[in-house]
Parts: sequence; structure tokens; C-alpha cells
Amino acid sequence: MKAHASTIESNWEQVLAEAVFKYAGSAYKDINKMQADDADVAKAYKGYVKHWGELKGFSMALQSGRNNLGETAGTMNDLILFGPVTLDNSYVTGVTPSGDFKREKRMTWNDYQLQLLKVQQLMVDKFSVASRVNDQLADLGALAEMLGDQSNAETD
Amino acid sequence: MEYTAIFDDFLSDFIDPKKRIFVGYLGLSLIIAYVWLVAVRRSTLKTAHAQIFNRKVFFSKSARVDYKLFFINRAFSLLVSPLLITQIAIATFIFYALHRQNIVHSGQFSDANKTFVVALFSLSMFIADDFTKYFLHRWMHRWPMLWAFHKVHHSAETMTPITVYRVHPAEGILYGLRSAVAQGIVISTFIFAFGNIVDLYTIVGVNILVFFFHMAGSNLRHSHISIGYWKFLEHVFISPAQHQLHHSVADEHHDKNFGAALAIWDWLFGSLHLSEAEKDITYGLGLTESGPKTIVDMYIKPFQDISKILILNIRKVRKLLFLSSSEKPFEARFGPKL
Repeated sequence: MKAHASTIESNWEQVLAEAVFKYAGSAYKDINKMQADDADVAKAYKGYVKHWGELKGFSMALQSGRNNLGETAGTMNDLILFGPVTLDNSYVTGVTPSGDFKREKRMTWNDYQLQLLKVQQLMVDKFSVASRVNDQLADLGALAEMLGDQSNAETD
Repeated sequence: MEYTAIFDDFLSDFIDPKKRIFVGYLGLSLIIAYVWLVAVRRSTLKTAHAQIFNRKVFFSKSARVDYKLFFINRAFSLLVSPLLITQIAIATFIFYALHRQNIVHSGQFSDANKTFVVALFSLSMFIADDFTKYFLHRWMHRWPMLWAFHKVHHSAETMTPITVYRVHPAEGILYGLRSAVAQGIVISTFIFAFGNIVDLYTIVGVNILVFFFHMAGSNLRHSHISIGYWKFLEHVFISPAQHQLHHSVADEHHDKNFGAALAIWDWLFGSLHLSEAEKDITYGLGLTESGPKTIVDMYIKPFQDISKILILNIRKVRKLLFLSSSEKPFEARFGPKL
């Protein structure tokens, strides 16, 4: 049992960081689905909110381990936001004294997708995420590899 | 690293289809040369053979320098390549930047026909690469400080396929960066607009268009086998003869035919020169240019030339300032006296 506990402890952050990475990618893809010409927006939005919830949940779990993530946690929370960007492009920025959500700011889908990309990059930079499901930069890497490093560097 | 691994690395370009001197392309160039000489020039097979494997070319002093530079530059490339910015770094930067505009959203055209997108990407990659090669090559000739480096390549007095490696490492770095920028821009733009349907049409892992360029005898550009195309075709594609003319010492050939695969850039920007059948061409820098004489010179002389250019320019500026300040009255230089 202690051995299992030790394994869980040593892999805690890594597993959660990989989940954060995965769901940031899912939310990114969901936004694309919502914006497609023939999109069933209601269905796509439902999927997006679900994946965003998972993203937020895993990001909070990541912060509840034994290590204080410090600046990394702050950056991650700023990028993911308190709530998902909604269909009118507003998002929760805080709570009013009467207990209502403040939603006066708006963000474009492109801007939020950029933040989700940065979440993925943060997970790679800070936790060396190895399992990169839904990596939104994977296609860039695959094409770059196909073309080869400086494959056309020959001069004339 | 073991000696065999180092040796393999040095010769890897011969077995990499992404490189011009891949043995397959060299073999095809050889076949094209035979066919050209026998079928078009009406040479006998024996004469064609003697002409292709001309010892005066392959064992000339210039060619022997090329072979040495090939190995030295490979070593340099192995050391420097990891330090250079990669196309993936540039692609990522541009991909991020594209999210900051709101005209097109990520994956907006992801429902486009995949065949069309892959063909468009393959073509765009080829054109962007060729276009940037044209302009960098043009600048290498037109800007004195870049010409100081590029002169190393043009100091070749005989040409073999290995002459493509007769370059100063600084030029190799510039071309590598050019490649990274061209690839980075095209990859990121396509992925942003079309999403994960973007792919490349390849043969043996090479962009199909680059493959055909090499198949068509790209190695003959740096050779003594002068193959010209029909005039109309030489407005679209650079023939080996056109590139050989680019290496000519003749005044009328100076700063012509900068193109790599496509001639349309030369045609558009006024530097196209069609091949001239049966004309003997002397390669090199000519009598008016002082080129590098030794291997060490190949690496050092460009820097000496650049420092001379800089000193000359500083003197010119100082002279201009001095003249203008001595010729003009005080008020004109500094405003009214207080």
C-alpha cells in the first residue's frame, strides 16, 4: 500500500498536468467545432463546457498537491479563467458584493484559444508533460519534421 | 561518437533524398547527361563518357578545393545547426500571432477538400522556398558585404555537383535561416486556416515538386554538361545551362539567373538570361575580382573584405560630414547663434 502511495505521490503532478494539457486541447478543438459553418452550436457548446469543466477541475487538483505551484498556478488560473468564455464572448471576472458573477469583459474565441495554447505550453515547460493528447501544436511539429531541418538550406 | 558514426554523418547527404547530392539524383543526372550528349548532341557513347567523366574537371584544383570544403563545412554544420532557430520555433510564433487577429478563426477552412489543400500546401511550400532563395541569392550578389561571402561559391573555376557545398559557413547559416522562415510562415498559416487536414504530397519523403526538380537533373546545374531548354521553358524553369551562365565571368552574364528551380522570378524582376547554345563559358570571378586563393582564405577573406568595406564606408561618411560642416556656415549647421 505504501509503495502505491509513493507511486501516486511521485506521479501526482505529472498525471494531472497531462490531464490539464489534454483538456486544454479538447476545449480548443471544441471552439473550432462551434465556429464551423455547419455547426450544431448547442451541441458543440455543450461539449466545450463539459471539457472546460474537466480542464478547470484538473487544474484545481494540480494546485492541491503538496507543492505550492506559486507563479505557475497564478499563470494557469489567469489563462483558464474562472469560467469558460460563453457564447456572447463574456466571461466571469469576479463576484459582486451581492454574490452575482461579474461578466463585464469579453474575449474573442481566437484570444481564448491562444490562452489554451499557452496552458498547454505551460504544462510542457513546468511539468515536462510527456503524454501530449490533443496537442494543438503537434501538426506544426509533424509538418516541420516532414520537411526536415533546413532541408532546403542548399545554396546556389 | 565513434569514428564510423562521424563518417556516416559526413556522408549522410548522399543517402538522404532531401539533399541534392542523394545518390539517386546523381545517378539520374548522369543518365540525363548521357541521353543529352548522345541523343541531342549526337556524340558517340565513348565521347559522351569521356566528356562526362572529364578528369580535368573532377580532379581540377578548384574541384579538389570543393571536396575539402564539403568535409570542413559538414563539420561546421554539425556544430552550428543545433544553435540556429528552427522552422518549428518560427511556425509556433506565427501560429500564436495569428490568434491575435479576428478576420479568420482557427480551422476556418478545415472542411475544404483535403486533396486540394494538400496540393496547395505542397505547391505553396515549393514556391515560398524558391522565391526566398531567389531573393536571398539576389541580395548575395547586390550587397557588397553579402557578396564577400558569396564570392567563395563563385570562385569555383570548374563545377561539379559538390560545388553546391563550396560556400562560406556564414552563407550556409543565412540560407538555413531563410529556409526556417519560409517553412515557418507557410506551415503555421496553413495549419491555422485548414487545421489538421494539411499534409504534404511526398515521394521518398520529399515534397513531390522538390523531388521532380532533383529528378530533372538539378545536379547538372553545377557541372560542365550544358543542357539548355526550349526558350519558352527557360522563362519558367532555370535550365542547367542558365545556371552555368550565372557562374560565367563574362560581363553580359553578371547578376543574371538568380533562380533556383523557377525562372519566373528572374523574368519578373529583370534578371533572366536565356542559355546560349554552343557558347564556351569560363567560370570564376574573372580578373577584376580578387577571390580566395587557399582553403584558409575561403574562410578568412570574406571577413577581411567586409572590414575593408566598413572602413571605406566610415571614411565616406566622415568625409561627407567633414565637407558638409566645413562648407556650410555655422547658422546652417547649428541654427542661429544665441
